[in-house]
Amino acid sequence: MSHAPVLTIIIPLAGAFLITFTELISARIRPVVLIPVTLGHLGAALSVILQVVEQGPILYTLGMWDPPWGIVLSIDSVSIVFLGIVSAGSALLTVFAWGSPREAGGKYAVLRLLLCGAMSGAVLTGDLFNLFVFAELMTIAGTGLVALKRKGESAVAGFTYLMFSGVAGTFFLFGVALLYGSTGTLNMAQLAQRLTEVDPTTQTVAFVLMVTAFGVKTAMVPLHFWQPFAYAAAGGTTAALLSGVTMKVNLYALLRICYGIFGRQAGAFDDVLSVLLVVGMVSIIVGHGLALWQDDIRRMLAFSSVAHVGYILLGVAGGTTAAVTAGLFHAFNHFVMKVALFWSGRGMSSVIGSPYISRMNGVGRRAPLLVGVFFVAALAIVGIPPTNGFASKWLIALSLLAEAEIVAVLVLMVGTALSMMYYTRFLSRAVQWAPESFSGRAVEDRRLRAVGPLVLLAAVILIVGVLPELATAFLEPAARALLDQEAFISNILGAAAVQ
Amino acid sequence: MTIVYTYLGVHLRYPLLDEVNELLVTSFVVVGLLTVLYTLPARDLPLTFKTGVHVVAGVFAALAGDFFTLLVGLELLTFSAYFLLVHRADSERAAVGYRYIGFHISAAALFFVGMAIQYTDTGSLQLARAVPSAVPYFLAAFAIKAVFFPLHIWLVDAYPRAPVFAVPALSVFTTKMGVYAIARIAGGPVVAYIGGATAILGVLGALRQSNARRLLSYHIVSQVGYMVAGAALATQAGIAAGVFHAVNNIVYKTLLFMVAGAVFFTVGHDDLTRLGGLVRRMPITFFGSMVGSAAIAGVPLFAGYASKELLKSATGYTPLTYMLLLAAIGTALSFLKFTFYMFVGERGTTQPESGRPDERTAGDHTAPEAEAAAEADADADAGAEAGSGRGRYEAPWTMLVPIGVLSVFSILFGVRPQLAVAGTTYGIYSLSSLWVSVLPLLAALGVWHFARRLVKPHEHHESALLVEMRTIGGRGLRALERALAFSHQHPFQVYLFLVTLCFVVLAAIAL
Amino acid sequence: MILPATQVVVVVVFLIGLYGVLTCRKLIRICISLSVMESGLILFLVSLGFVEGATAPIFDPRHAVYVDPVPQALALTAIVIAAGVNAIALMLAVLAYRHYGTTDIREIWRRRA
Repeated sequence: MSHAPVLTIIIPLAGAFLITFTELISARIRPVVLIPVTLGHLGAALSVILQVVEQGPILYTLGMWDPPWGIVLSIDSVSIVFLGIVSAGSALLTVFAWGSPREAGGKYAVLRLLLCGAMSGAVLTGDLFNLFVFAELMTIAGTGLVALKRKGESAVAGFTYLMFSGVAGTFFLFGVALLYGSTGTLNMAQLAQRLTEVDPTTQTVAFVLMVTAFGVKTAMVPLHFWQPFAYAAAGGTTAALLSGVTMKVNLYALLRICYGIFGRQAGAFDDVLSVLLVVGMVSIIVGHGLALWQDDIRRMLAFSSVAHVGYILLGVAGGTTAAVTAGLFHAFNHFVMKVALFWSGRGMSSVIGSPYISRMNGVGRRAPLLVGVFFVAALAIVGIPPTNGFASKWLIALSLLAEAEIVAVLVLMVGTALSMMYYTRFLSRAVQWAPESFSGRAVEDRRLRAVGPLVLLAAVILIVGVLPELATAFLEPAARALLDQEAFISNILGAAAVQ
Repeated sequence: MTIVYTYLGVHLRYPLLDEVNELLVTSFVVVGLLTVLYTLPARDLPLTFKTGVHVVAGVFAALAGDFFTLLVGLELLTFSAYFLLVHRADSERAAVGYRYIGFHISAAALFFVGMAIQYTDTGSLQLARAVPSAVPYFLAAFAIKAVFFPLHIWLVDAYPRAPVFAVPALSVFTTKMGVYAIARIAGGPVVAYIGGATAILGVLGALRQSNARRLLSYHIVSQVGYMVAGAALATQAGIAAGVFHAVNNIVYKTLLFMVAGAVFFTVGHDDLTRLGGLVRRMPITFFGSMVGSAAIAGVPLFAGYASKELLKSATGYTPLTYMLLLAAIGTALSFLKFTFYMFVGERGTTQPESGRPDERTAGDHTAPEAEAAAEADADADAGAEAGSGRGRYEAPWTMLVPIGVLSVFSILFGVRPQLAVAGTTYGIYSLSSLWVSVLPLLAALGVWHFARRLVKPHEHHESALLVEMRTIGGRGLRALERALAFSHQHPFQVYLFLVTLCFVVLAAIAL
Repeated sequence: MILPATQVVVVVVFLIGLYGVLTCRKLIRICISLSVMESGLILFLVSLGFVEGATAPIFDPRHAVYVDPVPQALALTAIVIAAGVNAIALMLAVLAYRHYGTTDIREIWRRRA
């Protein structure tokens, strides 16, 4: 048995632990730990992904305790999509943070690796309580990242984030406890099998508790209020990770709970899906509507994330393979686009010396490359062809029309127009020819470590936009695996369990 | 040479070239090249490059054989136009670009919905007439592109403020693509009548203008109304006439914009209240202006006459025809005004404003630091420039060549319309046709003779409608902004309570 | 296995904590309320494993009935996590107090605006 799955969790956690010690000695030896850890995580994740692509789902039993007694890591084609996002996001962040002066510190590296390990664990685990632990670990690491600046505002933002996630965590744990009380197991597959033994009320209450909990963590309207505070206080570098990657992991947990554990057998399943569809529409309108007014570029992008949770929900809550494929595709695209937007926005803020759009007059001449990447990513996130954002929006629209959800398509349309307006509002300032006097560094950072990740992301946006089959080839099996509850159960408990 | 490709399971072929768009594509290519040439006096390579991109985008869009490629082309046009609009922009022009994007992204979003419905219903994205359920979305999108009244405000907002060298290029593509799309995808008698109404209202707007480029912008609105009146009929004759009128309009409207630009370039402004007597100074430009005016007014033997004649026979003397004739009076009148007050006038000869032409236009399209360099240049050339106050101060050849070529086309399409639309006979020059077409011209001359003060250029302020819309819109938006901001200002516990409430509601729904 | 009285206590303690989180104005009290919520949950977890007349889950030939050991492990983990969350929350409350000079949430929000 290859130990790659567990290594994707252990390596970053161990790295975080080690870096606290190297910091005590000297900041200069940090790369000695950081580089192998980053490469190791990337390599382990890659080998897991390749293994799943070549041989199908894997089950990793921790301590050789077979399920349902031991805790297992269950990796199928859904997990690898999100594992890919986690490892790519973390590796890119390591490079990008190296190039940005404030985030290059040791504390930041520790928290970043902690978050990375927690997220890897959350997407791989096959145990519900384990998921709770990793989700809480993500919250703790995330709060640390948000509050790292130690200013009053970031303390308040971190506190808000912690309270929302904390309350959501208790909701989730309550749901887990209810399920355990009725079935006596925490293994996701066994839970799914024994769900019929649970009395309907308990089942529904547990389901709704879990959906609410991860609704808060993915920041869908109206559970999103912590998110703009947190992202603005965290700064662009971290917000990119929280929005691009952490949000996707929470979304994965939500999907696993909905489709893997509860599934169509659950009484409340259809109700929850249709509520999520409505929540998706509301999120798009409210998110874009609020982003339209923000002067702080980070808050603007934060509200845009709220809206894009809505887009993803319109896809994944559809319940058909096509719809879920489209939703997962948009989740992947949103990772690429939002990270590019946050980081190029971060670069521009440091050129101007302020994150406020109203002060960004003429930034296009000082930072043409950053504005260029921002423009490409903005086109993609609005959904202008031929970018990846268009491809996923097109698939979402088609899947909605197949279910005759014309209202949702109109919401998509309004969202497109609104989102272009706020990106143009920024762009109209950026392209102005008479720059005001800048404070700050005043020229863009052209070192490879600062620019490389951005150019890479822009390239991915365009390549996936022109050849979307590159992505859908991975995502369609993922969507099928997500919807196929029996395959999920047989992967964990063995084929004999499904009868 | 056809490219076949598959995008997300949709089979697409590119390009599409048939009898509907071959003329359009040809005129896009030829006129596009001339507009690129026209930007050269600006000595601004980025501007020329952006104009080139815009031209390529236009040709790409016109060759689209499916909805998807058409959308890509339209978006390319929108964004290349945006970058032309905000080329070295101050905050005012940047705001213009913002509004421009607002209109065109709405059009694109509507098109997207129409396209999705079309694909869901037919399983194909080949360019074809839209299924009924998709028609409203397509029409709403094209109403923006083809400036149906009152959606014309984006055009009269943006084009007069665009960099003067870029306006000819801007005026060629976007609106014509709207007309072309109506001809191909969605149309109908109602749309044709909206086109007729737009033709009249556009002209009425134009008559109130005293700035040359604003006047021409309103005439785009009006002329596009003509084209829609033909193209939306969806008969073969109507589409042919509409497209022919579009091509003619590309030729003579670009010509007129180039004339206005040449005057702007040499004199330093294009305000009709302050122009006059340029005929001796700029004879070639004057000739171009005469030809363009005659063509747009529909004087026999000029391009506009031929296509308007085809339009009339396509509309078949319904009320629509009379609407177009009514619009023709205004057209003739406003181009009498245009040419007269610019080149003949009552105020003697206009002198160029101080400074060299290319330095003066610098304010419009050159960077502050480049301006300083230009000033140093000007000092060096001061001796040579001193003598240029008298005599001819014609525009440079890079402007005159496009003007000349387009003048030739304006006449050619009138004299030999078969070149453009095969099978056109000289029946369009029958006595009855001539009489019907000359009537509006005579009416215009009558008004010009007896009531010129009605059209005389005067100090003009921005269209009240536009100002009103902006104020009301601005107020509404600010109120909404305050409301939305208020909803996010409370301590976090309020929202945590909302989370609990959401759980309760969701549980209530699920139980 | 869960006694009705335990259920009532769990729900009451949880709701008291939730009420506190939603209504307390001081940051410290909010932290305390969150830990009250978590206490309710931990009580719930422990009660899940309870078996009438059973002994601790240590192998011993004299006893046949053990309580379920899993919830106890879960409760321990939950306690650890709750402690971590509370420690960070209190740290942030101290930071906010140092910056704003108060732990009153409405006052802090007023000063932020």
